[in-house]
Amino acid sequence: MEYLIAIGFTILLTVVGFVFGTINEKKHYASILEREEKLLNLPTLTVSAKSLSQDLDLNQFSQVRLVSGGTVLSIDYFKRFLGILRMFFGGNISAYESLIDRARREAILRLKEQAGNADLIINLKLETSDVGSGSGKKNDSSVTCIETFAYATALYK
Amino acid sequence: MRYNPQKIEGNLNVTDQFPLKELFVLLAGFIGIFIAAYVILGFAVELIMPHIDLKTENKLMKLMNSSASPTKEIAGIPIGLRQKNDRLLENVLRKLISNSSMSLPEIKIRYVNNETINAYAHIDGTIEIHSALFSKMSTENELAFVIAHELGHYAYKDNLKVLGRKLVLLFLGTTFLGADNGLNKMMLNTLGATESKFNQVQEERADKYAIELLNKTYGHIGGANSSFSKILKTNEPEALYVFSTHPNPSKRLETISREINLKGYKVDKQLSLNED
Repeated sequence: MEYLIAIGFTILLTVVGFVFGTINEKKHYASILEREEKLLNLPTLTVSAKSLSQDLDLNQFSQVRLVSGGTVLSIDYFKRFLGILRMFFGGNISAYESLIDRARREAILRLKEQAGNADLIINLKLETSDVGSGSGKKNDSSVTCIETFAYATALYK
Repeated sequence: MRYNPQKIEGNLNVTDQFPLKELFVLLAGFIGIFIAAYVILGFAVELIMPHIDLKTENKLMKLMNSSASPTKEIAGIPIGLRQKNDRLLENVLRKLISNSSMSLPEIKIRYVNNETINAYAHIDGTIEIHSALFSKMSTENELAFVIAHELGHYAYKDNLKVLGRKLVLLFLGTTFLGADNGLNKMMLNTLGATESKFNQVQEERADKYAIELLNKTYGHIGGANSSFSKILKTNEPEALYVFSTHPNPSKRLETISREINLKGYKVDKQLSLNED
């Protein structure tokens, strides 16, 4: 009987995860697209100052600042379950693709927002890691949370 | 070099796939593979188990003995009565085993004070006869039929097959779901369960074995039908037994009657119940 309850609870969590996870993801993507459009005119590049100095006079910039943006996103139960099933057969884990995509884009947007009225952002770097994966269990490789950190140099005229 | 801001349409970083469709496809594949593996391994177990030698079978039974838990008993039975009934059961068991042509593992028998009309062939080699069933037996032959039926499960290694299937599920559970999962916990809890659920084929085969053994031991099959009729309800609808592990009692009675007619077994005077 207790096993039926456990199975029922898993199904309930999966359904709740699917419903709320899909709603949250749609809302987040809508917010990302809106802010990306607003911040489209702030150039953000991965090139270094040294590479850029060959084509651009960096003396025109009076200020430089380190800017960063970070985010932690949690995966919903439905996507986690889907990810575990996918691991048996191989192929794209689309459930995690959207999570990582949102995390990176959100981190970059927060970096740009922190930069404020910067004229140029260079040397952009991203670091992604999982947080709290498998609740500390040794053999549990399923992901629960993603943390993405973006950092760069903002240049001001 | 010029910076050209451009909004990128679509999202190439995320595979365009409806998640529910992906879930159903993967789940169907996973369950399909699990079931196929269980069926194939189950067949392998059915093929291997009959060839396990008696020595190994006894070792396995001793191993199961440590995890077996006794049937719940109603307290209050006088020790003298228990000992008397145990001796009676042991006498009948000895008679039957000495006439059995199939190799049997080490079997013990005990009387259990329980209201359920039942007898069990436990995986550790113990046959339990419940007091409610025992009280319904009027002759030694009737009792012998019940014991012989349980011996049939041991003769055909039905307990080991059930154990084998549980071990297959444990193996599959560990392979697919990891060591610490709900399915494994359920299997481990029931692995040492003292009652084995036998399927309809196994039950009918045990009935035929019991008839044959009864005939060999007593020279006739008197007591078989009456024993059966006393312990099973034969007027229940067939539909109740479609998904049951036990065949419909009426069907079992028919099978026994057919077997009796086929082999030309006779009915004769039955022995009274005593310790000698």
